[in-house]
Amino acid sequence: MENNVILKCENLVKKYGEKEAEVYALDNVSFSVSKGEFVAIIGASGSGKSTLLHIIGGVDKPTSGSIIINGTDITKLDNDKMAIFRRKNIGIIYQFYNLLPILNVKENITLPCELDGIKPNNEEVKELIKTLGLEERKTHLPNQLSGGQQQRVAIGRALVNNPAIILADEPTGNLDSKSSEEIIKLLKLSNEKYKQTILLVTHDEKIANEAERVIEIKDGKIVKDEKISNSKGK
Amino acid sequence: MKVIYSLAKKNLKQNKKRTIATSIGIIFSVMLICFISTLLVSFQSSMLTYIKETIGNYHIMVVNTNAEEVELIKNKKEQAGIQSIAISQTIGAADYETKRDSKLGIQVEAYDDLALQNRAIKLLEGRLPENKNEIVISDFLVSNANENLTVGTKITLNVEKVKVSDKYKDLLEPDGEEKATYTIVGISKQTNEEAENQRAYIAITKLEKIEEQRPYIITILMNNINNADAFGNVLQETIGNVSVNDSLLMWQGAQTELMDKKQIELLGLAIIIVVTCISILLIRNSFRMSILERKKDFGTLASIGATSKQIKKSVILEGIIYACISIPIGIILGIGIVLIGISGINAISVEKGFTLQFVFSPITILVSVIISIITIYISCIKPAKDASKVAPMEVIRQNQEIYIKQLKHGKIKDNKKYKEKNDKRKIEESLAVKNLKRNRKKYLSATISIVISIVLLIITTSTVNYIFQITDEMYPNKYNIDTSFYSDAFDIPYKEKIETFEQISQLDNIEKYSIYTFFTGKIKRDRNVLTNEAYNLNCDINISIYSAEGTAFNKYLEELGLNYFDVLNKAILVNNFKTSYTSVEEIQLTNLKEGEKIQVNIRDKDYTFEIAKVTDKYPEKLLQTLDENSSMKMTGINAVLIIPMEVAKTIDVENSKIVIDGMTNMRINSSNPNKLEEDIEKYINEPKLNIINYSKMKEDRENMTNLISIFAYGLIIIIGVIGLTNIINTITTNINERKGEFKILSSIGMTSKQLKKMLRYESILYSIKAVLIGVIIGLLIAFIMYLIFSNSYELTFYIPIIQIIIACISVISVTYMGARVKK
Repeated sequence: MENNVILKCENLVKKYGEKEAEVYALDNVSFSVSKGEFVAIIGASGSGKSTLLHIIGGVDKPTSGSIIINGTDITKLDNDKMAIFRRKNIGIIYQFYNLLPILNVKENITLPCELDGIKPNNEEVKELIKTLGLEERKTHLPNQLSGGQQQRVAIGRALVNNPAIILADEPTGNLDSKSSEEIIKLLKLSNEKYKQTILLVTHDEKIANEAERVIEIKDGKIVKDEKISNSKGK
Repeated sequence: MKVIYSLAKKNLKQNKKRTIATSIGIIFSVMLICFISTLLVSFQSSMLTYIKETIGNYHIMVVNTNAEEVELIKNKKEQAGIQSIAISQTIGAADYETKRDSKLGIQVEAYDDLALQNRAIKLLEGRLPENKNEIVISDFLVSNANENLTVGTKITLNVEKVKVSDKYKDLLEPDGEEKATYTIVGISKQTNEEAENQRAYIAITKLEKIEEQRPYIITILMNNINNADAFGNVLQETIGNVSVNDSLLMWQGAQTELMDKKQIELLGLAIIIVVTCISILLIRNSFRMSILERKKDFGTLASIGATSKQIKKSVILEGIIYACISIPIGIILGIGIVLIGISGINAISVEKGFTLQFVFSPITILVSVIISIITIYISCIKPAKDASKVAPMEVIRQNQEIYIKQLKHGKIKDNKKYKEKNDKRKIEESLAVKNLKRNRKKYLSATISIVISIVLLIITTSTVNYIFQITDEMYPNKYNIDTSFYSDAFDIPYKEKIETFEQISQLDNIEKYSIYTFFTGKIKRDRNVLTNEAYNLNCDINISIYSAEGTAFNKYLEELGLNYFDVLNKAILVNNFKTSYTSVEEIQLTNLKEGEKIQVNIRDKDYTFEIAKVTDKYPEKLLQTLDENSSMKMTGINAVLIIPMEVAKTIDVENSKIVIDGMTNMRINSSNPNKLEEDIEKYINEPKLNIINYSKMKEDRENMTNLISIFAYGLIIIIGVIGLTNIINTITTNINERKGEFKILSSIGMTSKQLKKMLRYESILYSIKAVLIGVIIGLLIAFIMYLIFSNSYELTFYIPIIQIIIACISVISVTYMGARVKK
């Protein structure tokens, strides 16, 4: 199994403040994720789950410890190298979609390719948009879309480069239950169809249970890490 | 790269309002820079043409030199860096009778090719001479000749040739006579040489063969203009008779003591710097606002893998797009304004013969473009850096709370007044005040642009006003034409001069006139004539003799109770005088009575005048002629004798070397001075008569001032517009940025009416503040200017109230309208 590991976190510590004001957001967190796994990280508000995701995404730096994605220790990369690494290897989905308001659906999705200077494969993009159910809305601007649709665009953007891992930060946090269901379905679909590794942060146990494996964090420590047998997907 | 470009382009398209406002700002500033630099280049080139046409295209001129010295100069050609040497020679002069007594004949000068080309011959008709039998003569000779001289006329002259004296270099000796027939091939405007020549007209022929014995005039053009002055000095020391063409050197850019060019360039540079600074403020503000607004987008871009370089590029690309659109439009507009401005200036050209011509200079355009590009680059580099530094975390955390610097608590707590004031305020007002205090930096550039615009407005209007005040003071208001003879007119007999004036007095359009002349004389120390006090001064007594004719003289007679016939061939004696010995006291000069005779010595000749009246009334108004309100007072140091013009004509001051003796002039108050000037030139035709048309000068000066003020106001309006676009930019962005804040306010129960009120209050507060600062600084500078000007002129301090009010209203209304918020 070792060579199948796509993400490996070792002794991650994230500390805020000094001395008496010291707060540990992450306290010696270690775990690894294999290729194709769908992992949910749950925990209460302030448990450190989002911090963990941001550090894995390279948008935040740990106080100590290492994160190895696809054989690269991302804690050793500078900002620009990290940005390039990110657009090739990591897809990020946010709670608030964060689409560029001036780009239409297709442009938003292909943006990471464009930034990389690669011409997106038209067939693949078409297929992806079809899978996302956005065929009709290809040329719409984000403000002409519903929340669910916007989140689907964000998923498309995360998937377009075939990243090693997708990080989803409360992707349903801002959506109604029907849209939420659709988004989770899409994520599961990408997990199955493209063998996509997914790391999902949520505080909703019902959503977490859709994953193959659930890691629970409390006060910056992993308190539970278990595979779910009754996963509907498998 | 493609995606970055399309991002930049789309962003500009999405924010049309800001894009247009910024573009207008950039266009205007490019326009101004291009306008000023093109105007400077055009002016310089026009001055060069003007100087080459009036003085000549040479750096150094050596006159009356000989073959030996010319050889000496030629030998120095390499060493001194001489570009070219043009040669002309004086062949000789021939008697030629014309209507003009002073000009005795025609002097024939032979020019070589280069001299013909460079020596300021402005052909009105025909062509330049091509052989030694062809000549060009001046229009002045044509109009004065007794025969009809036109192109093609053959004229035979008995030329008395001249040569340089062997003994004395400056002396010319006769060198035989030769009868020659010349064909007139061209008619030129009068050259400087002819105008300066007392005795002869000048005919220019072609120098076919140099005759070594004839005097040379050489003109030299230098390779290195900065050496011209030094080389001129060397020639002056070794050869002499050297003149250096300073004005040509100055306008060609040599380092000289003349400052005109530098002053103009400095002024242009100052304007360009101000415009550039304001543009940087505007563009930078616009970029900063745009980036603040899109902070989230940049964070998102970074989080999906855009490098900081890519983000920076995207912002700079926006700048490049602005440059591509705005710079060409600005350049075209700038050139357009120059063309309009030049035709305006030429329409009211002050100096005769000077026309401002448009010069299209690619280098100037290039410089304008470069300055504009640098301006845009400086403006967008910092915002671009800021954008590239946006961390993805800022987006992810979604912490969009507004960071506000905490106010110093102490200040509020300690300041009871502030608290009381704050309590009295309505909530909208107090929110507005707080917003302004906390967002001071955001409003800074808008405030600065308002302040600069208003300061410039006040300075310009004050300057224009002072120039008008000075203009008014500079010219007499009781008469508008002053005629006199040039000081070199001693070849014209005194009597003739007076008669010329009398002829002028017969012309139309004269309301009042006064001819006046002045001599100095002495009264012999004679006990029979002088009073005891005067006699005891123990010296000859100086007496000033005035003579007058015209309105003012008649008025003086009236005051004395006399009429013209009472004083015919007689004199009026002002018997009181102060001497330099008895400076305070006025003493009586003579015991003479009316009807007795006084003997006066003028220029070693004795004249006897019969006294028509003895008075102690100084003829002040007579001396001021028509200017009755002049503050100048006649001091009466000398005794004064006033004689009518008829008597004055008998005084012989012919060929007087003392300029003051027989100094005559005539002042006229004309109802149509321009017509009168024309008539004098047409009917009197006396080249040594100096006509000063004050009315025209004043008009020209006022026209010039008006033109300058049009430019100045245009400049202010443009700077003002740039400033206002800046304000609009600031306000709209500010409102966009604070949408979240407004939502919170309305969610806790602020009505949209209250919201609007708050915003209006905010904008009015800060515009009033900016206007106040601007007005205070502007008036301060205007006052300093007033103090400086009033050292040399009598001025009243001027506050441009109307302009200030207009500026205030426009600033406040723009900010007021800008502060509208959509629901």
